[in-house]
Amino acid sequence: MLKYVFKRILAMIPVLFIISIVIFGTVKAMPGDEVTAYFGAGSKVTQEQRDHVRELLGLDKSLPEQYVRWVGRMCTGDLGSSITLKKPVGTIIGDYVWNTFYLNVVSLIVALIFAIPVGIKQAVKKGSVFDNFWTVFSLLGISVPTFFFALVLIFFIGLNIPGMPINGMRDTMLSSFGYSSIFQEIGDIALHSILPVIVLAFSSFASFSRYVRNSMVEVINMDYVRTARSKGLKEKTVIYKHAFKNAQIPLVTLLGLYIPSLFSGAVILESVFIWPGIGKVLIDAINQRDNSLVMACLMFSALLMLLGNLLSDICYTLVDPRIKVDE
Amino acid sequence: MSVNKKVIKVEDLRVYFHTKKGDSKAVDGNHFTMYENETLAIVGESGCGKSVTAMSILGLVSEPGEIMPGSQIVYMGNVDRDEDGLNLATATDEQIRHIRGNEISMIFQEPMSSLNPVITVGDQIMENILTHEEVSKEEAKQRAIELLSEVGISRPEKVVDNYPFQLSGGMCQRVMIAMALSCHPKLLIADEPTTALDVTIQAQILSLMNKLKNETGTSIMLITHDLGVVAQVADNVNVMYAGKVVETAPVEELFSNPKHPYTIGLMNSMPSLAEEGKRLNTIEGSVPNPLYLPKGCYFADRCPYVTDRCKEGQPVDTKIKSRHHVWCFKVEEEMKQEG
Amino acid sequence: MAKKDAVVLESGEKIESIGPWTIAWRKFRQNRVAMAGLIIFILIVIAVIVIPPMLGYSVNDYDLSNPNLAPGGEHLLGTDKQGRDCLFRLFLGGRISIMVGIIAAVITVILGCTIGGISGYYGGKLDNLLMRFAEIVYSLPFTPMIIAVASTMLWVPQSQKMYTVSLLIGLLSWPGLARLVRGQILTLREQEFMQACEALGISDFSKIFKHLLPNVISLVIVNATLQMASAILTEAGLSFLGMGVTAPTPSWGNLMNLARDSYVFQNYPWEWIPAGLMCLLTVISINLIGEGLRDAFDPKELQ
Repeated sequence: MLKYVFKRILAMIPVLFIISIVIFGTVKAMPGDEVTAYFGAGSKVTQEQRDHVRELLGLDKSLPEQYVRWVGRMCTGDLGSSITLKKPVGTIIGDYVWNTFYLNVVSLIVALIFAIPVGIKQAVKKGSVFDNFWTVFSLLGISVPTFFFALVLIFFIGLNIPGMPINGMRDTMLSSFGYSSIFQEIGDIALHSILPVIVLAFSSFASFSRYVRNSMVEVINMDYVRTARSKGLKEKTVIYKHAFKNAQIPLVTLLGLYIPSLFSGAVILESVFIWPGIGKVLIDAINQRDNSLVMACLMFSALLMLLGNLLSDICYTLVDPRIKVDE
Repeated sequence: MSVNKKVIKVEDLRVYFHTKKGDSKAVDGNHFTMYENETLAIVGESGCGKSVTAMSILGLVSEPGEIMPGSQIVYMGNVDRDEDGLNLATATDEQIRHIRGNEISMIFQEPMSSLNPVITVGDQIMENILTHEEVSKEEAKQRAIELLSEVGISRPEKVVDNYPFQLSGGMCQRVMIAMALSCHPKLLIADEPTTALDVTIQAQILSLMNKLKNETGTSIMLITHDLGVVAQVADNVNVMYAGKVVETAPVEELFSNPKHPYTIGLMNSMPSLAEEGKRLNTIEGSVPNPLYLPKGCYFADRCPYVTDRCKEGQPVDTKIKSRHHVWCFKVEEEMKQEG
Repeated sequence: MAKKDAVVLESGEKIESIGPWTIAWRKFRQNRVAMAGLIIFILIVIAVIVIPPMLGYSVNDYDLSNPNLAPGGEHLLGTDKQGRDCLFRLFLGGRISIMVGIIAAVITVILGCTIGGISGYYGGKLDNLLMRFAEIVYSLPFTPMIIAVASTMLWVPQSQKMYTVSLLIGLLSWPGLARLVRGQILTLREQEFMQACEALGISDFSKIFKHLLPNVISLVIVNATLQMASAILTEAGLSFLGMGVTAPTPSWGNLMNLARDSYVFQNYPWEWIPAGLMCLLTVISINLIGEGLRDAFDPKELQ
C-alpha cells in the first residue's frame, strides 16, 4: 500500500510541473503591472523607486528565468510574499485556509446527515411521491447558481431578521475590541455561518443525495439483498447493512474527491458572503494583480486536486475488500 | 411415509405480477404438501413459476408481484400434528421474519452473487444465528466454523474470515448451505442450487444436501429443471407447467409410470447413456406467455394427444394411486374406462 | 431493424421490431418530467429569440431620465440605473447565456470526442500521451483557473467576450467526456463488428467516425446536455464576478452582477432577481432533459 502511494505521488511530479507552467503563463499573461500594484494605484513614485521594486520582485529578468526562480523557491518552501498584503504568501494561505475549511466541513457534515437517509429512502421507495419530491428538490440544488441562492437568502431572510449577520465571519466591533470569552467568539462565528452553511449544504446535499439514491437503486435488487431478507433480518438491517454497505463504495470515492475542495473552497460564494477564506483571497489577488499570491493559490488548488484523486483511490481500496493493491 | 408429520401445505397459490399490459399469472393455482424428512422436487421449464412458488413461501415476491387473496401457504413445522399452522400468505412481516432463516431457509441459484461481497463469510453466517438465537458472538462464530466444516470446507477457521470473492462457486454454495442450516430449519428451499456449478461440483453439493437431510431431518424443497438431479435426490416430484402442477408422484412411480403428456415429453427429452444412437425427442413449441393464457389446458397447444375438450376447459385432479395425481383429460378418460 | 411492421401472434400478442432511436424517443415521451423540461426549454428559447425584437429596444437605449423605475406601466419589469428596459435586457441576456451554453457544449463535445476517440482507437503511446494531457487539464482547479484565465482576456473586445468565455469553458471541460468516450471505444473495439470493418479494409477515419462514434453517441448526447447546463452556470458565475460577459451586453450572470451594488441589491430587486430565476429555470429544464435522455438510452431499463 505504502509503495503504491509512493508511486502515485512520484507520478504526480511531472503533472504538477506542467501545471506550474500553465499557471505561470496564465498569471504572467494577466494585463496590468505588478509594480503599480505594489505601490497601489494612483500613488506618486519616482521612476527610480519603480525600477528598484522591479528588481526586488525579479521582474527585470526574462520570463523563463523568472519561472525557474519561482519554481526553485517553491521547492524550498518559499512561496514569495504578497505585494498587497505585505506578508509571506505561505502565512496568508495558512491563515485563511482554516476559515474555508471550517465553513466547508460544517456544510459537508450537515449535507451528509440529511443526504444519506434521504437518498436511501428514495431508492427504497423508488417512484413514490417521496422519491419524486426529493428528486426535484435536489435537482433544484444542482441547477441554482449558488451565488444567486445566497443573494436570495440574504435578501429575503438575512435582511428581514434583525441581528442576522449577512456577511463576514465575525462581528467587526466584537473582533476588534476582543471577545469577552471563547463562547462569545464561537457563538459569533456560528451566527455568521448560518447563511453560508445553508447555501453550501444545500448544494452538497443535492449532489450527495442524488448519488446515494442512484447507487442504492443499483444494489437494492441484487441477489445478496434478497439473501439477507431470506435470513429474516429486519428491513432496516437489510437496507442499511447489506445494501448500503455496497452502495457506499462509490460514495466514498466521491467523498475522497470532495476533500480537497474543503480547502480550496467555493470561490464565488466566499466573495458574496465576504467570508475571509482562500477563495476570496484568490479573487482579491486576481483583481489586485498580486501575482505571487495568485500563483500560490492556484498551485495549492491544483495540488489538492491531485491529492484528492489519490485519496479517493486509496479510500476505494479501503472500503472494497475485493480490491487489493499489492504492487 | 404417511406417518410423517406435515411441514407445509400449499393450496390454491396464485401469484400475479401486475404489469402495464395486464396481470401476468406466474403461479396460477399451485398446490402441494410436504412432509418431514422428505425431499420434494419441483420440476419444469424456465418461466413455469417454480422460483416464484419458492419465493412466495418466504414472502419474498417483490413489486409488482402479489400473492393473490385466497392463497394458502400453511406452515406447520413448528406446531403439533393436529394443530393449525400459520398461513404465510397472510402473516405479518414480524411473523414471517421469525420464520425466515430460522424455520424455513433458502439457498439460491447464483451462489457468488447471493453472498454479500463486502461482508465476510463468517459474519454472514453469524448474522443468521444472532438474529434468531440468544447466543454470544463468540459462540456464534464457533458455530459458524463448525457449520463450515460440516458442509465440507477444509480449514474452516480460515475461511470464516474470507470474503466471498476469495472462494470458488462451489465453496460459496457450501457457505450458503451452512448459512441456511445454521438455525436448524424444518424446511430448506433450494432454488436451482446446482445450475450455476460445474458437473463434478453439482454431484458433491447434491450428496451433501442428501447427507444433511438424513442427519438433521430437514425437509428439502428442490427446484430444478434437471431430471437427473431429481432422480438422484428426490422422494416426491411435482411437475409444473405454466404456473400449475400437472403431475405429482413419488419419484420411482414418476419415472416408471409417467402419465401426463408433458411429463412423458420431459422424460423423452432427457439424454440417457443407455439408449445409444437414438435421437433425443423434443417438445415442439414453447410455454405460453403468462399474460395471455388460453382458456383450456395450458399444454394443449403442444400436446400430441390434444382433443377439442382440452381447448374448452381446465382438466381436474385424477388420482392414479396413492400420492400419484395427474391433471389431464386423456388420463381421466383412461382411468374411467379402466374402472 | 429493417422491418417496421409488427408481428401479431395468434394469442393477440404483438411483437414489434423497432430501432434504438424509436425506443429512446418513446421512453423519453413517456417520461412526463423530461417532457416538461423539454417544453419549458423550447418556450424559453422561443422567448429569448422572439421577445427582444418585439420590444424594439437596442442594447444602447439609455434613458437617463427614467432610472430604476419599478415594474409596471411601460416597462413591465422596470428599468435599471441607466434607464434601460429590464425585460428587454433579461431576454437578450438569456440569448447570450444560452448561446454560451451551446457553444461551450459543442466545443466540449468536439474536443472530448476527438481526443477520446483517437486515444481509445489507437491506444498505445498516443493513448498514453493524450490521457496524460487530459489528466493535466482535469487537475487544473476549474473555477479558480477559469477566473484567472478570464482575467487575462481583458483585451478581448466587449462584443466578442461571450465567445471567449464559451471557448474557455469548453477548453477546460473536455477531459471528463474524453475519458468516457475512450472507455466506451476500448470496449467496442474488442467486439466482432470492428473485426468485420478490419476485414473490409475500411479507413481509420471512417472506422472511428462512421462505426465507432455512432455507438457512443447516446453517451455523448447525454453528456453534452448536462455540460450545457453547467456551462450556463459557469458563465453566470464568471459574469457575476465581472470577469465574463461585460456590459453593455447583458447576460444572466452580469444582470445578477448588479446585485453586488448593495443599494441596488436592497432597493431594486427587479433588476437582478428575474435573471437568477430565468437562469435557474433554464438550467433545471436542461438537466431534466439530460436525465430523461439518460434513462431513455439506458438499455437496462428496457421494458
